[in-house]
Amino acid sequence: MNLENVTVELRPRSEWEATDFGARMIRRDARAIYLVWFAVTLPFLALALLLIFFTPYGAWAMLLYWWFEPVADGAILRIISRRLFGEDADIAATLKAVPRLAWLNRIFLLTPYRLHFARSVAMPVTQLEGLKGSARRARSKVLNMKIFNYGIGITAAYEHLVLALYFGIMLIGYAFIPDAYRHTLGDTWLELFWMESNVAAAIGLLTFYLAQTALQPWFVGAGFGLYINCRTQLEAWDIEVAFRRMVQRRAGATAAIAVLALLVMPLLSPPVAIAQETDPDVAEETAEPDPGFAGFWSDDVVVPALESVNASEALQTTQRVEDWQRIRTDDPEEETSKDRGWSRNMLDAFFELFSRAIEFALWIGVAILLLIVFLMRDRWLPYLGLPGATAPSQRRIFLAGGELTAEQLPDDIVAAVRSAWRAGRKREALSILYRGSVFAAVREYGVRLPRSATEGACVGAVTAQTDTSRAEFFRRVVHLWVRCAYGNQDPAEDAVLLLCDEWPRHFGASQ
Amino acid sequence: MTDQQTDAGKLYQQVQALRSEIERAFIGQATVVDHIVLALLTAGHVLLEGVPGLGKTLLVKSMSKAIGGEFSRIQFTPDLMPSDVSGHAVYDPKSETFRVRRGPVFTNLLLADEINRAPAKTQAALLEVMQENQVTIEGQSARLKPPFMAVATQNPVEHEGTYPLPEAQLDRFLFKVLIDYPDHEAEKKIVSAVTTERVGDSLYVDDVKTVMSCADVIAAQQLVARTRIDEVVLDYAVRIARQTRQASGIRMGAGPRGAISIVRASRACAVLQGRDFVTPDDVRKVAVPALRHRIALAPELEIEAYRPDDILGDILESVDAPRTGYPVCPSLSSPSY
Repeated sequence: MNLENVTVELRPRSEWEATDFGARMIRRDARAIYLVWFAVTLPFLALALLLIFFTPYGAWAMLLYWWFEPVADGAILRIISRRLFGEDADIAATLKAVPRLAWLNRIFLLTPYRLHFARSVAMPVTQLEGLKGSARRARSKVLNMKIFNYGIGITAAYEHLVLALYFGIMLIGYAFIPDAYRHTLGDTWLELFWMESNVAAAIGLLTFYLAQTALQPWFVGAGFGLYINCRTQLEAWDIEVAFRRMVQRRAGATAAIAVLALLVMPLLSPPVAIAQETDPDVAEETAEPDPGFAGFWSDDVVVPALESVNASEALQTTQRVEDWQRIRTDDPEEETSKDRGWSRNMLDAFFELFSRAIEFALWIGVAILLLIVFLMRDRWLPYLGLPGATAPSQRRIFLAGGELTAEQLPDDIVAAVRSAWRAGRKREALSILYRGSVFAAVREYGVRLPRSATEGACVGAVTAQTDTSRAEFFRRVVHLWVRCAYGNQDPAEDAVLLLCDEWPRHFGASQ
Repeated sequence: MTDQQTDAGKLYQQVQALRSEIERAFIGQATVVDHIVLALLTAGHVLLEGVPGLGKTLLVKSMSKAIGGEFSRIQFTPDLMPSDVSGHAVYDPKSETFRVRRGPVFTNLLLADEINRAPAKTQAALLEVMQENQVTIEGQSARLKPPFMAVATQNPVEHEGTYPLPEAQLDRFLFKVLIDYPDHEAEKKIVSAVTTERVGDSLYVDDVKTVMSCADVIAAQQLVARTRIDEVVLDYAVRIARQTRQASGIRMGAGPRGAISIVRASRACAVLQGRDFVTPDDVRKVAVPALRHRIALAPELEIEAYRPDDILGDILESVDAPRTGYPVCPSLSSPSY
């Protein structure tokens, strides 16, 4: 980084002006940025589409694609940061640097920091300054004091705009579907988002990609603009640039002024000590001596200048500022519990206990929530499209207000039905046949039944989700069962025995 | 085969004939026809809701002809008086006595068109007739000749200058049936049927044959009332009605008359399927039209354009199907259903 080569006007801006400043940087280099964007994101998009069409994990495609979004952000950030300081941002070099940038930004890819509320202003710290761990946190703390809230604002605006665009494109597309075909997509356009169809998932992903393509670079640029503006203010980059240019213009005569400026600047901006650019791409340049100040560092020049500055009237003024400060009591010698008095100790103990209780209650709440999520897994796991999660052999079956388990059914359904029938327990025989068929339909053929399913609903589900002959067989079973259960009408023996003969052809693979 | 089963089989044939005759004139609305026939078999009344021009009058006229009954139509308007509905006494100067002139309610099938356009007093006159099956004119009561069925209509679009029916009066209707536009093919058939070799756009029910008599209808109603319903199925109907009082999003749930209507209609539904016993699926089929006018949604749901049908659908999904006393399998050590 060399401030003399900066290609924009550096000056303190208001935060919203700074985001606009970032957006203008994106517009200036839009061609290079979008070329890199497409080059980085299209392979991810292709992978996500493959996931949809060729694997059972299609429901995860959108999430996975979205999760790896910061990879492209890193590339965009590299281009605008280099162009800002007048450096070349070769597209090929940027693409080559993508894996390294992704590794630098791994905190946003591999940890919950992916959900960082102000990622657009946090990423430059990680990528451009190369900080990590406590150094990154300390640096972020300084910057966040000024721009974190604005970073959240950018994220909120971006997410809302992307969603609005996403839904808008889907709605416009839906509006162009002729009325005659609309019913095939459901009653309302919102059903597009819940369709269990690979094509619908792919259309959803492509629409999201379009919305994201339109907005993502601006999101990165706005965050970068805020970051640069914050550093400009904290480190007085604008003053430094002005003095550097002045020095260049009037190299000999203004040496003292330049030195004075360099000496005064730390007083104006204390956090400057940790605000150094360490991007490997630009680090080489910062390591070189700055030619603009060569020859001005001898004591003969500096000491008298310092003395004159210190003696100047501007530095003799004093100002009294009063403020509240928390008194730290970490040092036991500084303030003992005896000094504080029993009431203070009790109050401390009470609040300590209270905070512990709140924390404990929160953890209990989290545990209960997780337990509920676990217990309701049968309801939400199917929506994730995980074949393992919806394995029919593990699916719980609820029928008529109770759970139907393998233990409630005989090992050999057909033998049990015949035996009960011969013994004159006709209702029991048909009950076993019906429940055994429902159990087998769910476990062997993955038929999904709602908890409130009546006999008719079971027939409907089996008809819709299995082949015709099995559905017809199931319909006959239900017909006999219903007549017996609700009409008190015993079926003919031949009909029951015929069903027993046919049962193994349709069900019973799990027996 | 029992007598009940034999009668049910015969009735099934008659009802199928009745349905197909009505559908000859009233094309492409099979569900509406089913619900109207169910109401007729249950001796219930129907509130039809649909935009004008969907053939509501034609429906009632064709059913009237199919059962060989009388038909009357009252167009409800803001200035309609109760006596215009029930009848009134007029002075006969010749005999110097008051003579009772019977109103249009003395019929078998009554179409009360746009019932919400008349004030509450006039609505109440009709609703009293529906409930009591009798009319009081000048202090003298007169029973209506059975079968009597009222089909009231409402327009869901124009609410300007209307008097919405109060919940207590809505409760008198067995069903609220929503009538929607027919699909493309059905509409083509309607247009063709109405315009081929016909002058004007009058309603023709000439093609409809009389397949039942009023006496048949009364016998059918009695047979439906005797249709077997298992206690668990009856309990299922009651649980559904009760759930409307507990479900979130409902300001006012259905009263006991809701469950009564479900059970009555599910009996007719069973007959319509050719059965002499009711199954839980019959209950499910009739629950929505029997309850949709008996519940009032919470304001927040109404603002979000939810309809009673949406909430009733959720309720049906949340109520467990009846457990029909599954016997314990003796070969198992642990008890099952």
